[in-house]
Order: sequence, then C-alpha cells, then structure tokens
Amino acid sequence: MATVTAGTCIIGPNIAVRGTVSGEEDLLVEGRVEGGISLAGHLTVADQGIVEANLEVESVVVMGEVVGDIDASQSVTIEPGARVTGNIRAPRVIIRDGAYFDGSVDMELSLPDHLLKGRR
Amino acid sequence: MPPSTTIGPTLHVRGRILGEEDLRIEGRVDGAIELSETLIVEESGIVVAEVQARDVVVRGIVVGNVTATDSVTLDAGAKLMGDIEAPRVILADGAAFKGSVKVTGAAPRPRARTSAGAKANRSRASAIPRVRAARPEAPVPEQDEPTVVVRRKDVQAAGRGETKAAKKAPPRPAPASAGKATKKKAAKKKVRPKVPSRKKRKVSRR
Amino acid sequence: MANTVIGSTIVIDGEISGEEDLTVLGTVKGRIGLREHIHVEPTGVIEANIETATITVEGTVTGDIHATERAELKSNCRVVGDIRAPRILIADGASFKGNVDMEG
Repeated sequence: MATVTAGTCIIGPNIAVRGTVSGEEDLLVEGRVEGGISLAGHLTVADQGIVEANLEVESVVVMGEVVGDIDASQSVTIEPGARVTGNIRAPRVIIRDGAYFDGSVDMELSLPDHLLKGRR
Repeated sequence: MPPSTTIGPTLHVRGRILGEEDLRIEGRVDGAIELSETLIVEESGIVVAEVQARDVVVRGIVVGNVTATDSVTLDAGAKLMGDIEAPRVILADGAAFKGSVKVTGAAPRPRARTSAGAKANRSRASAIPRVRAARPEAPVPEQDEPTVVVRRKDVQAAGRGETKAAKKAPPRPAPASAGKATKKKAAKKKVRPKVPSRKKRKVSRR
Repeated sequence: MANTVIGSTIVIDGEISGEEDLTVLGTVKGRIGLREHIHVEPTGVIEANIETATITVEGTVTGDIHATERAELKSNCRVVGDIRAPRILIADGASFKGNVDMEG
C-alpha cells in the first residue's frame, strides 16, 4: 500500500476530480482525476487510482492507471500491474516487470561522440 | 558442450548477425542482429544496429530500434537510443533511454478494475458511473457541476482539512429508487458533451 | 582472457575485426581480420578472406588465408583458396585446393 507521509493530500477512492489539481505538497490519488495535475511534490497513483491527465510533478509512482503525458523533474516509477499510456520526460524512469507502458521516454542520454555521427 | 556465442571485447563486427542461440556482445556490432533467442549486450558492448530477438538484455549501449517477441530489459548503466517494440519492457533505475515503447502482442493482464468498456471507449462520462457504482443507493446531485478545482491557495490554506471536507462534501439524500434510472440517464447526457471541450481548453492552454 | 565464439547456429554476414582469439562453429561470410588465433571447428563454415596470426581449420574455409605465423589444416577439413604463411601444416585426410606460399 502507498505510504502516506504527513502533509499528503489524498483524493479518496470515491472522489472524482475534473480540472487541474495543483499544489505544493504530496498527493495520493486513490480515486479519479481528469484534467491536469501540477504538483511541486510527489504524486502517488494508488492501485485503484485512475488519472486521465497531463502531469507536471517532481516525482510520481504509478500503481494504478495514467493516461496522459508525464513531465517529472526527478523520477517516474511504473510499478507492476500499473498501466501508463503517454509520453514521459524525466531524468529517471523506472518501469518494473509487469507494468504496462505505451508511449515515449525522453531521458538525458549521453552517448560517446563517435556513435552520434550520422545519428539524429 | 559448445560454449555460448560471444563477441569478445576487442571484436568489431560490421554486417548482419543471424542466429538461433543466445548471443552475448562484449565488443561492437554495427549492422543488424536477428536472433530467435536472447541477446545480451554487456557493459562493454556497443551495438549500432536494428535488433530483433526473443529477449534483449542491455547493460551497455544500443543505438537502433529493438524488437523483441518476449521482453526488453534495460539494466542499470544501459543506454538505449531507439524505439522498443515488445510485449514486456523493463527499465531499471540507472538506465537511460530515449525513444518510444510500443507494446506488442497480448496486452499483459488488463487491470480487472478498469472495465474493458472504459478502456475501449475512453468516454469521460465513465468516471461518474464508476464513482456512483460504489454507492449505488446515493445518486450524487453534484453531477451537473462535477468539476472540483483544488487551487494552490486553498490547498495551502486548508491543507488536510480541506480534503476531508471535500471527501464529505457530496450530500447523499435518501435513495429515490423509483426515479433513479432516469436520473442517471439525464446526468450522463449532460455530462458527456461538456467534458471534451474542457479537455481541449486545458491542452491548448499548456 | 578475451575469447570470441561464433556458435553453430550463428551466421555473420559482414566484416569481423579484432585482437582476440576467435572460435567459429557457425558461418562467417565476408572478411575476417584478426591478430590472434582463429579456430574453425568441424561445424564451422567460413566464406571469407582471412587475415590472422595463426589459424587451425577443422571445418570448411572458402577464401584466401593469410597467417603471419602459422596455418594448420586438420584432417577432414575442406579448404578452397590460397594460403600464405611462414609455417603451413596440412594433415593427412585434409582436403585442400589452392596455392601455397610459405614466404610469409
């Protein structure tokens, strides 16, 4: 189960939010969010949580479902059983075995110079 | 017992490698690799090639598209620039990846909770039925205005208390079993056309 | 120890270069340029010009062999091509068609 630290906002299992959720503390979504999430903090999408939104967060752990693009300044973790459809931009991206992910990943990638010749 | 195929660290292969056994690359391969078994690109390995295999494990560098019939695993230290197509994709912490992931084959066990209908037809209206389904006896009157916007100000000011309040917010009148079905229908009709436009606005504003 | 093995089901179509021993049980077409030892096992098939320090052939080689030290053709091997090496050993039972140049 998701760990909840003090100062975590919870969108409970029977709450559906439509619109933009923004804040500066951690957020735990057990219900549903449609629209957008903009958070200066950590987002957890719990097992039953469904997020159909573009995310701008520091970090996010997905155990439920996310449909939308994810932009994280720190990390994105997709846990087993989670489903993520969308494009991810983050310095650290972790996809565990058993997670479903469909989309693109944009991480910083430094290749040796000789490999970059004639490449994108 | 023949040793497994290894391209050693000083070796450089330019061309196409085909095979029906595991292949371990510690050196460099430029061109194409087609295997019916497992390809392992070790830490020292560099592959600049289109790769096709059953399983692909990367600990070194791969530049090119990777297609696997089973899985693609990027271990810590791996660098992959290219697109992945596989039923299973595992990305470890410390791996670097730039490209897209396309899940092929049977989608791995759809989440039971996410009804197939909601997936196939990504109707926004499906949100409310789900919430309602949890409390079938309580039609939520707020359906006409289902948007809850938690602004930063509110969040800061009220903190946890606000959320609790929000949780309790929808009043639950006694069940009106007779008019329930019609109410539901009406609610759906109202909700459906509203949401796409809202979504569009959001996207364009970003 | 650096050691490269090309397994029996592997087909490489292209060019191999490097500085380590190479054992071939599969097929290599194209060109091989190594500074160490090449061992072509009985199942190995090479259709390529070869440059190496030493080579031992038990399988099939079609192409010219240039070894800076030694070339050895074992019995039951099949070699079609010219061999150039300071030391050349051809065993009884080996099948060889081509020219031999032992000037190195």
